[in-house]
Amino acid sequence: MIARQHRVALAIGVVGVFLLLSLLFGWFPIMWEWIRSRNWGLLDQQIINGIQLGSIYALIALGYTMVYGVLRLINFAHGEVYMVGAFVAYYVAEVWFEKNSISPWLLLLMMIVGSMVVCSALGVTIERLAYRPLRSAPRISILITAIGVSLFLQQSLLLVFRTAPPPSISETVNPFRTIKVDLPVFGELIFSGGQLAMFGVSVVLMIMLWYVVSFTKIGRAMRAVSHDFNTAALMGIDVNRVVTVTFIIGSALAGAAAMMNATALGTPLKTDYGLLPGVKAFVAAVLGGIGNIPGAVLGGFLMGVAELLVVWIGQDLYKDAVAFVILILVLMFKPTGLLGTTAVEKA
Amino acid sequence: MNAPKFWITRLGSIAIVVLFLFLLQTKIAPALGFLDNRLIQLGMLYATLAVSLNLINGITGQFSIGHAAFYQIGAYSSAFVTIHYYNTGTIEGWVWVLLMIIVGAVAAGIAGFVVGLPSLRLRGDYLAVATLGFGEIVRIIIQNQEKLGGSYGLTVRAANSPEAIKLTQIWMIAGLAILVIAICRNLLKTAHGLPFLAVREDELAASAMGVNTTRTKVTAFILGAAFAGMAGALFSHYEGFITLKQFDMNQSFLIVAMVVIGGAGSITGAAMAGFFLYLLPESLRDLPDVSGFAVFGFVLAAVVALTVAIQIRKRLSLTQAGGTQTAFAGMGLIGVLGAGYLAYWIWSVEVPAMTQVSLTIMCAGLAIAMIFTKRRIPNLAGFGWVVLCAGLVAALTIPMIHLLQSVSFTHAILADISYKAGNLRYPLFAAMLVIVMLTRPQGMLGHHEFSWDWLKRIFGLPHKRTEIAA
Repeated sequence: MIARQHRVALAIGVVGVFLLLSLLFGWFPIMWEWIRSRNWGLLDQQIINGIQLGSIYALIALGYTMVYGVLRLINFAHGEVYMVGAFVAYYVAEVWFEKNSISPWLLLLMMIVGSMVVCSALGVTIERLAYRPLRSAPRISILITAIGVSLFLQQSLLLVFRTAPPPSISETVNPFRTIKVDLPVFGELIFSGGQLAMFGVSVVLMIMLWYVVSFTKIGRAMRAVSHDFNTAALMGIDVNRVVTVTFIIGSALAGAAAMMNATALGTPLKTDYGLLPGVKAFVAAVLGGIGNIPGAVLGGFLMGVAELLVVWIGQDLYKDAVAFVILILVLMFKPTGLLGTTAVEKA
Repeated sequence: MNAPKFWITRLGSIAIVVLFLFLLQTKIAPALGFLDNRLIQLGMLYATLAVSLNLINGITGQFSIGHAAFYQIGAYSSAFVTIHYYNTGTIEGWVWVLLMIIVGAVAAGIAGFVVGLPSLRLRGDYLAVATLGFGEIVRIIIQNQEKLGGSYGLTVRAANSPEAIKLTQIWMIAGLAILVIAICRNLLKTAHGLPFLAVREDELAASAMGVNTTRTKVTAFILGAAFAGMAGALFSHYEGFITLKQFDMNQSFLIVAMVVIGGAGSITGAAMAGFFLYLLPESLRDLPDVSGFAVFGFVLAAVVALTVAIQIRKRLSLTQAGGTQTAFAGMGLIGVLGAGYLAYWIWSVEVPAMTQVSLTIMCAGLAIAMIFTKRRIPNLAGFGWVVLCAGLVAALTIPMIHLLQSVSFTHAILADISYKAGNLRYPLFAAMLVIVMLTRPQGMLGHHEFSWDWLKRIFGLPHKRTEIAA
């Protein structure tokens, strides 16, 4: 008679060996065939595209993560702020481009500044009207309010903005050209100039954010508030000012991201333009560890790459689903995210 | 309660319900027009959905915002079975729909089990986002299945005929709504429901008291999902044609809004909110187009009115905190006299009837608010403030419209704009959600339920005092 644990071990061993053999002889050739049949030449191109897309997600995710860090609030209306940014860029381009008298670079500058300013104002207004009165309320009511604000912006701006037919920022606004590079190992790579600029500006903005958070007085205040809201208030930090600045910075980053994405890709703008990027950026923030600024950047790039890898595999119909799969997996197996340290709410 | 009396009341209420359904099907529904029938049936479906979500959100306290996914799974699975296995003429239509309700319930219940599992680890807003993600995954998967019609939509038809069939009758929808409400109500009245409430109030304490929190949460998800799946099965066989658009994220938010506005945790609140919040906006569809001046004039008036009302209230409550009882009494008296005089004066001068009515409403609201704030009866004082705000908005709208029309800048922008009244539904909904959250976070009814004693108390009749679980 074998002892019970030995019987279990034996059973596991037998099943394991069987599975391994079936894997080797049954699945391995199929997998090998699948791997061989992929278009490996396109992989590097897709990863580059993914990183460029990821820079947009990272910028939006920074807004989510900063607001979460300070207020412990998932700002569902952030995606709508992004949408408004894209529309502002469109209107600026339309008003000024027809006059045709200013240089394209100045126009781009005006578009991005306009988007950032309007988005900051919108973000601060939302915080002032909807979130501040509820700061001491249960977190679930703030969450519902955030959903309500998001729904309100989406549906009421449908009445205000021109959406039929959905406008898009004209390609002629975009002065960048496509660059083709022939590299010895990677083969021919295509860089869209607009997307390269997008990546560059995103990195510059992230560096500026890093400087502000790490080396300025308000940045120190933000870190303190993020560490412990109540104690920071007791230490004489003007908490409301910090929250306002957080919303200004986060919304401005979303506005810049919206302007760049809408200009570089020329996607038709609808009022649900911010819905999917918003949700994906939120997933990016969770993936990197919500409340953690480097985490949001890392998560954003990973999300962008993951999305285009799904496209590369050939399942482009499911590229929107991958965000939610990642979200659920992260929440179930590593709720703190990749770089986060604070545990997800336990009570 | 002794056993015979219990059975008599129970059988009696079942008989009343059956009689009601019979009358609804044979007498009431034919008397109504097609559109009214449709609105009432969809309203009852929404009531079912809101009550089923309330079981998860309000009663068990697991905040889920992907409820349309279960509705969708019920609708698509039952439609799929009908398309492949139903032959017209072989089986009675209503029997088949009842079978399909079971199919929808089982499919959605399994999905509810799958979603219920993450709820073991996640809480609060994270669970909300995970359920949202689940809902979107379901939508995307269905979108990419050609057998389910993909983005073109699915025609619900029999296997032996290409035409859409609409088998659902009004008594099934009403019956399902009543059944779901009855199940939830009985669950809460018996010991089986207490674990759900315990998990909502304090999960840690509940588990310390021996409640199996895991089982409770998963059960709540399965039950809520199965109810939504039943509603979905009825919906697909009612419409005869289903598309993804009918189950998108906005639909989920709509159901959440109904539960939250009605009062999370209140079955009565959820059912009423589901029914009326569907009907009221839909009735806007019949109205003529609204000019841009009217919409923005109203918004402007609302902003000004809210600001004014909040300022008055703030001043009043500040005085209350520092002053004396006599001062309040004097203020209240002066306020009432002033409001009365203002009302008298309005009716004696030549102004449009609209202005007279709205200013009177405003004065009445101010008087009520002042009296009851002074006497510290918060519910009635709150009612007075709402009336005051409504009156102020009504009084200010017309001057604001005139203002917008007379300023050349706004006139130029707004002159060509007009909105279909039906398109204003979602903005109104969202604004209502935000305002309810800001002013009354527990929702209209809070955790209260309908009871005869409650009605009696309102009308001042003798009643039993009931303890309400907070």
